Amino acid sequence: MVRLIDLGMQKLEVMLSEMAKEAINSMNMLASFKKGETARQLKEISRKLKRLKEEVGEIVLEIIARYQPMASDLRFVKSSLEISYDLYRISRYSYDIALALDDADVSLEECMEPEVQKNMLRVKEMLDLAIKSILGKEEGLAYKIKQMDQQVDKAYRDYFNKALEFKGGRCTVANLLIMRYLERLADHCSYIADEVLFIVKGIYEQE
Amino acid sequence: MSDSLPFVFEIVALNVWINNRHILKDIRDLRIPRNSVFAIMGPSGSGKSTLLKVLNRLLELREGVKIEGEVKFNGENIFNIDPIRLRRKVGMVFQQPNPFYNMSIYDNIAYAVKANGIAKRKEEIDEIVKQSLIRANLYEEVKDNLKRQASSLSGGEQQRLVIARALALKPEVLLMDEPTSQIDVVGARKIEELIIELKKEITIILVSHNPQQAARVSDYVSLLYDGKLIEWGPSQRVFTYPKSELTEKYVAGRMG
Amino acid sequence: MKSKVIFVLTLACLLFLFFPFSWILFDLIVKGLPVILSSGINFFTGIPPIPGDGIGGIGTVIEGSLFIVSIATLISIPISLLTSIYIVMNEGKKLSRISRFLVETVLEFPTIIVGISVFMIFAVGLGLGLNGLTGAIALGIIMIPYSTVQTVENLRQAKEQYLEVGYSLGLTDSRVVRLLISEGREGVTTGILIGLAKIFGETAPLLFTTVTSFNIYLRSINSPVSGIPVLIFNYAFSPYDNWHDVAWGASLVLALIVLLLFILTRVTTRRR
Repeated sequence: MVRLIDLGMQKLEVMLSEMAKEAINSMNMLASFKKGETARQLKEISRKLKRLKEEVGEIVLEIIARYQPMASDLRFVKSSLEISYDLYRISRYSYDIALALDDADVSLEECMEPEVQKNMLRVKEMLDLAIKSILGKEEGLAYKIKQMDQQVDKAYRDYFNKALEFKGGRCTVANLLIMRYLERLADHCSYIADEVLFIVKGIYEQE
Repeated sequence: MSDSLPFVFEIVALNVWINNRHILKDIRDLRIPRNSVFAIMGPSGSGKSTLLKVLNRLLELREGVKIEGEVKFNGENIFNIDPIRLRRKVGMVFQQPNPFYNMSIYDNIAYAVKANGIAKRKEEIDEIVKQSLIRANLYEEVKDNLKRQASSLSGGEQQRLVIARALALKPEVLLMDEPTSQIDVVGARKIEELIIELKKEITIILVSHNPQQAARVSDYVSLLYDGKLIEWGPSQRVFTYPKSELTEKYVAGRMG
Repeated sequence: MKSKVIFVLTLACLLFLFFPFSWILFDLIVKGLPVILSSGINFFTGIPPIPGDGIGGIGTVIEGSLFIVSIATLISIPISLLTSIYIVMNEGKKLSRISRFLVETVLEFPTIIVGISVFMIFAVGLGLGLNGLTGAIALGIIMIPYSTVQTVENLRQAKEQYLEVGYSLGLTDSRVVRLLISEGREGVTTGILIGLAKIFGETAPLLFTTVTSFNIYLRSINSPVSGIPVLIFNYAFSPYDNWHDVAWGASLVLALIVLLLFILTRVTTRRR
């Protein structure tokens, strides 16, 4: 049966899907990095996601005022506010990574170290899973994401310690910045996982 | 003292048949905390009003009613208490405002006070009438002329008069059966605000056909469906994360 | 077009209904009013004339009717009220249903049979004789079902509205009944008025239970007084012209009294 609130809920789901698509897109663009151009494109994308996040906020207000959502509807509405912010931040960190590469004036092929490459793939996978878990409301994927987040954190700390000993140069700086941003990006994927768990289980789990 | 128990009513187990139809099916472990607003919600025909009328033993007045079980009021089994004594401690407000139309506002409240021998002297009765009207948030609106006919009041005012009439007997519990469903929006809001004020002094058990209303005013809420108790608990929890699939469907409006 | 035809037909039926009623009233006024006017106040206070001469008055039978109807009311009200209360408060029980049925049956009884029965049982059997009291018993019996049926309806409505309220306020059974009667008192009054309107014009039972002499005023409870309808019956069939005139005047008076009672009934019901 179609309820009045379903109209608003559908709008929310559509918006979140679009934001998710752009977030994934932003990470993909890093893979085919072009100096200057990639950063410009990613700036556009993150601006767009900022606008979409604000639109999500307005839809949420409208749903609350008009339809008095309850139970799982209520939890989804609250979580979509959080998730929209996380997706925006993810696109923003992708942009930050492109900026770091531009500023250091290096290319990915020359510089990117294997563990950084590995971490980037890992985080991209996390983002894919995060999007899937939102759409499917899948508990299992959420737990996997949280696991992978711990791996990302460890990889970052390891590289940081390594870089401390290193007399690097431009590449080291670039790699370190990338690892730092990847760690933050992964955190936001983890936050998305927390929201999915809230929608499904009704609580935020403590560590 | 029996009224220091945390639960004013306790339904240990309850089954009700009306004309051989099983209306309330094995209601168990339902506890009404003192000084709270406890809502009973559910689709129509689920037995909410029937359950309410068991609590003040009004249901037994009907023909063809069979009640089995144990219900405690302040620790005592209600079926062992004199029903008249019980009803003076457990008042009731009905869906359709029903003040005594042929009587004045004053007489409406004074009637049961006099008939039950609570007060005899005029000054005492005057004071009780005034206090009841104040407690029901109606005094300001009618104080200029208490001798007015009850039928001259608006629907919302009549319902508050009915509440004042019940409050005059100083009950511990007030049973309210969909008290705002026949009232206009503004009047209904005033009654909801009154309910929240009253719970400081008495316990209110409210049957509501509207889950949003139950969400607004209640501290605890229960769902009755097809005569069965589906779940009950603190409203904050039940409305954000209900334990039962049925409750989820009912409050989210997915029940057809 | 069709609705116009229906409208005309309805109007015609209405006029058809009103016609005999208006004719009777018109006739009564034309033939009765001059009689009353010729006698003036005396028509209501004096005694009937000797055959063949004069108009006199119907004071004796007016007093007689009032007496008989009052006693009948006094007899029937308590019985009617108690019966109604029992029927309404015990609605599920068999005895209540049987009582209801009995009341509705007596309602349909031909009043002439009531007259004959009262004659046999009270006038002859108990030796009360033919007088105002016996007449009152007969009319009382006829009045009871009318008042009861109306009162039962009204108490039922009051019960629907206030029974649960009354009990929920911790009232005892007797207090709840008093509440219902108090809130339904307009209906109870209407019941009595309907009964009164019925018996004021009843002739057959009085023929069997009262006398046909109209010259005595009331002296004691079993004075042989009679009622207006009996006078009308006798004088109309008499061979004397002046007695016919008196009968017309008496008919007008009777019609006006009954009309008044019906209007009172309407007025009291409309106030709700």
